[in-house]
Amino acid sequence: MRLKKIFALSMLFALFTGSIVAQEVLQFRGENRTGIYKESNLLKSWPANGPSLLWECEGIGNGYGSPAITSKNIFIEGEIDTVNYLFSLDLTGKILWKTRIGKEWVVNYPGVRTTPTIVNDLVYITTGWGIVACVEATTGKVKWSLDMMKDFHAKQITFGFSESVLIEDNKLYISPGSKDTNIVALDRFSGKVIWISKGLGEKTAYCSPLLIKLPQRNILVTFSAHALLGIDTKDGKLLWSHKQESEGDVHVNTPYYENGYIYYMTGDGNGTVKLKLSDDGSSITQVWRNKKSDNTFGAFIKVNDYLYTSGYEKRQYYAVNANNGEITDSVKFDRGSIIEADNLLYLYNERGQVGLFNPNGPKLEQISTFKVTKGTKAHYSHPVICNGIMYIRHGKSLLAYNIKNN
Amino acid sequence: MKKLFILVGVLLIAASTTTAQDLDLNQVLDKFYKANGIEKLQNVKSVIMTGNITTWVIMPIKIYKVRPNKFRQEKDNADITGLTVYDGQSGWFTAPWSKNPNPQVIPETNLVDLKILADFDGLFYNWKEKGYNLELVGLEKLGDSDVYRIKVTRSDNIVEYYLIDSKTFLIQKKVGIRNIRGKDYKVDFTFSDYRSVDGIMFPFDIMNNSEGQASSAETQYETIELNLPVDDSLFVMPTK
Repeated sequence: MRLKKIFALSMLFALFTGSIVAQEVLQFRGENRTGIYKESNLLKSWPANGPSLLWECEGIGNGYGSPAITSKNIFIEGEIDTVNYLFSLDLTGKILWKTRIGKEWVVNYPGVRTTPTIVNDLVYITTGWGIVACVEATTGKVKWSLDMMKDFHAKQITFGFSESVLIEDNKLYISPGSKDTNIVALDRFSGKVIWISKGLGEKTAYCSPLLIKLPQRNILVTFSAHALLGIDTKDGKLLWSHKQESEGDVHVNTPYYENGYIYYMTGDGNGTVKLKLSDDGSSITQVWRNKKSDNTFGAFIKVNDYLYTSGYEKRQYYAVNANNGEITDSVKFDRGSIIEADNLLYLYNERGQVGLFNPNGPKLEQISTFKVTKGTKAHYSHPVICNGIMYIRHGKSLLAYNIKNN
Repeated sequence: MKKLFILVGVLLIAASTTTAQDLDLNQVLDKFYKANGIEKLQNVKSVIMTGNITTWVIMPIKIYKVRPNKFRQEKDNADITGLTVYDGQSGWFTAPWSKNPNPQVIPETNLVDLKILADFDGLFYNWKEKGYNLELVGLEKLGDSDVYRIKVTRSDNIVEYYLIDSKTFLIQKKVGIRNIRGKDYKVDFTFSDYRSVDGIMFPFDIMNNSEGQASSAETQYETIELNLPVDDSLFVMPTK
């Protein structure tokens, strides 16, 4: 009898703690996709040749997608002979297994575009041809998969599907971008459809969505070809949209949300925009737009009152005042991606240079720089920082640099 | 004494005006060869150049040149490597990003540009034997510099002008008009960042501002290496 009570109590306790501990989602650009990594005690400057290279893992296939890292493993995708493989590495860079997922994009910029999303023991990935798969993290066994082109009539897009899937509780969101099946919520355990949103019926636009959690509702924010969309994650209802001003249909960057404001950045003449989101999330109002700040796929970072990013038309990095949208500093460091950790910015540009910069309010101050000399093809990936190690994917190689301040 | 001073002054002025203007084509070319290290180049068997072309994207480029006239360019477009090759007699290319991923022969009529690129000693050297016609047009200003304008009429009758600095005798610009499918386009290349590689001068920066392209294209070489072994198979057109 006493045992029964203890068991019931422990079950209750387990349920209770289970409901209050937030589900950890390891994903593209870290927590909430902000590109801000909660790290401390990192190097404040680098030696002339850069931080020490701990290891290089060659042979992960072609691609631009970043790794997702757990306490034991590194998951990364790569294209080999037109096929997408999910790789599991240990933390020393040794490949443990690889799993064949399906057809990968080689039409242009051949290789994987996405970063795996991990929740507990399941890994979720997307290929450039729209195959979505759920894989067991320990074994590499494919639990379920679907083909957005066959199953949801997705339309082929110029540069291949590039959406790193978003997960909220038991739901997984994908953007086939077809007229009637525009955005879909799936049960992440089975792959079965929960709801289908028609959105605006436009093609998908390469964006890895943002999830905004409000007291009244949760909102999925993503792009279709010519608009930013806000979708209620409960039922897929389109709450609002923000029309783009130019014809361009490449809107890769994940938007950013903070204190009632949404920021997004895109190229093709649309630039950077700040929107006021109503308290209940049902409407938006444009606060400002700056067309010069036109990052296309390198993302941006918000630190206090400033956004930091690179331009696209102009190969330089910018500091942008988040209150009024004015560019307060321009630094010639080509163009590329950006992340933040331990109060410093990490820039990785298309010439393979990695820069350590100080986000000093309106100024962007260079501290150190080095060049990535290993790996293959274009430098388009986003760095990842985890436990004092900076991971940079350059084509077929994953590079791990020690940036701990020992 | 006064007369002598005036005479010396006149002679000095005359001398200063003749240094640039009085050179004929052969003298300009002789100085050009010397400045560029043509004697040393004669002993070079291969050149490998590695760098990037920056347009609205960055395209890695690697060029192999083997004496007397083999050429291979590897250039990435949409991160896919395409080849343009001249094996000394004929040319071929690949464009894997296009609908035809197989190697394709370059028609003889379109080979002149490639032959000039493949010419190990450059277009000016032994120009008569190569079927070109050169004329010294004169001296002119290019920014703050005086440059010699040399008119080159190629074997395909296309005319190009080379502007050679009157002090360094290095090529500063190549300009001209190119008719493509009935429309005239200005050709405009600027050569800069000359560096000596084993006594031979190479422009490490070539800016192409020619009309008819989506944006300017700047080629920047990171390394230029001489006399490294180059496998002959690199120039052979593959079947697939």
